[in-house]
Amino acid sequence: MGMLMGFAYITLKENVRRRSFYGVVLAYLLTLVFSRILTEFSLQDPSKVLLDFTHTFLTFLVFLSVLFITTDTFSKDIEKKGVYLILAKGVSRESYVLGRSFGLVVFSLVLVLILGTIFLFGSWLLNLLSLGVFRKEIHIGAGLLVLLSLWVKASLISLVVVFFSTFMSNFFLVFLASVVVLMAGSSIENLYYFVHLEEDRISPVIRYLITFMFYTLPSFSSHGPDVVLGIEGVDLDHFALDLLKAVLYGGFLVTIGSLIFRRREIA
Amino acid sequence: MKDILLLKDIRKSFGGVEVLKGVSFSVRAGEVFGFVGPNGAGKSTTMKIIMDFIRPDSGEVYIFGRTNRDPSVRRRVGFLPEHPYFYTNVTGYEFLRFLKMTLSIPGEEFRRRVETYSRKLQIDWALGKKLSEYSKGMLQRFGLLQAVLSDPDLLILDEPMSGLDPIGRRLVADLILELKDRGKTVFFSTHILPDVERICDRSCLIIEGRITDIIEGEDLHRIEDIFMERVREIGVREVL
Repeated sequence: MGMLMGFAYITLKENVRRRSFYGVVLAYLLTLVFSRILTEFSLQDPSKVLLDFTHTFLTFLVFLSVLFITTDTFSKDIEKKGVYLILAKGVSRESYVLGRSFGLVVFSLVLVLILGTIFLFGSWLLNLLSLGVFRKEIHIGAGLLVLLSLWVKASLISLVVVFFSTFMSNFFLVFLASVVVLMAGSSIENLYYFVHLEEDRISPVIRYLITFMFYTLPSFSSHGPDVVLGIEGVDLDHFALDLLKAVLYGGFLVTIGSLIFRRREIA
Repeated sequence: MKDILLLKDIRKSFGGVEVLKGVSFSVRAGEVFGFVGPNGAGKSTTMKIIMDFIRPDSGEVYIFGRTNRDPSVRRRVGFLPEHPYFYTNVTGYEFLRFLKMTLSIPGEEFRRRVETYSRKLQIDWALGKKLSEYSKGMLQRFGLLQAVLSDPDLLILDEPMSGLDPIGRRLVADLILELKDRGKTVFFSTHILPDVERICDRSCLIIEGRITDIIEGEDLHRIEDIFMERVREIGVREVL
């Protein structure tokens, strides 16, 4: 437990002091201001425009930050040999992968908490103060569930990067491979639901292939702004299943990554 | 005396080139052992094999009588790599706290060790600063501080004097001798021969991946002559 806390401590300290971290927070604050301006051009549903825009940027900034920071953290550890000082202390390679993963999941939580708070309360405040009679009610409780869902997905992306970093040292290659998985995971999910809606019109081979990929690739869709606005109900069963899948997938990635890293030469 | 570190016929190749050609030697408990060789002789590769960062093609390494593949054996080892990399956004003290948490060092003991060793290495005033603000010499001394933090029985130091000014070299040499007086074993690589003469009990020469000599006693005072003689015999271009 002390080891896990140690990794969480150093990962947080190292990453929250990056200039890019403050840049991301500032960029998101500017996005909120811009989204308010954007609502002026919407005649029918300004609350939805506001929430759609701020949520899309929240997801984009969280995913991008997690991808960049996780890749950079591992790349520095391996390429610059920061890992030597850790392994030399008797920390096993499996513990290193587990500890770093835990640290990065905690960092994702802090990132989602900071940006998510700005998203929820910023949108709530803008909605309340400036959208007048056209506004819809923002449900903070549902918003917290949306943030939880986003954190789970951000952590999963982090673990995908950890997995690739256990056998690749090049920053660009790890980043690229992780982006490919992220995009494939997001696309295959839409395809999966589409083929199940149109079962009769799609050949069984394609259907099985897409179903296979749906279960082998991680899923990155999270609850959207419609839940926050109450347009869509909170589907707790779907959320629980999604969470279970993310936990199992994350555990699988860390386990396989640890086994690979155990055999790796760190020259 | 008991062997603390034992290397048996270590061979290692990179891309078809044999870098280590059957390296064998042992380090006894309580001694300061110098590992001397010209650039590219295989010193750092040997260090990495001892620490299990890379695996030999053949041969075995034993630390405290146990295989070096067992990570728990490194709990009693302090290691300083040749060019230590530290996280740039954290302070020296925060990095040490990370090690404290990872190694489960009790709070009082941690404070005592940090205070004692940081003063000895004259780095105590800088522990609150970010590691990115440290000079090369400060990083080297900080590297030694993190290596002794766990109070190890065996210290493995890869070029500990590199990047240090004469004062820094003196501080590090004094600390090595003090640790020896406290019964610790120190194994360090270097190509600075006067340091070996001054602080080592024994040393070995490695040239082109082969151990050529184990030098001890009075012979340590003429290590430079022995070293140059071997280099001429073997004909290492980089040195000559």
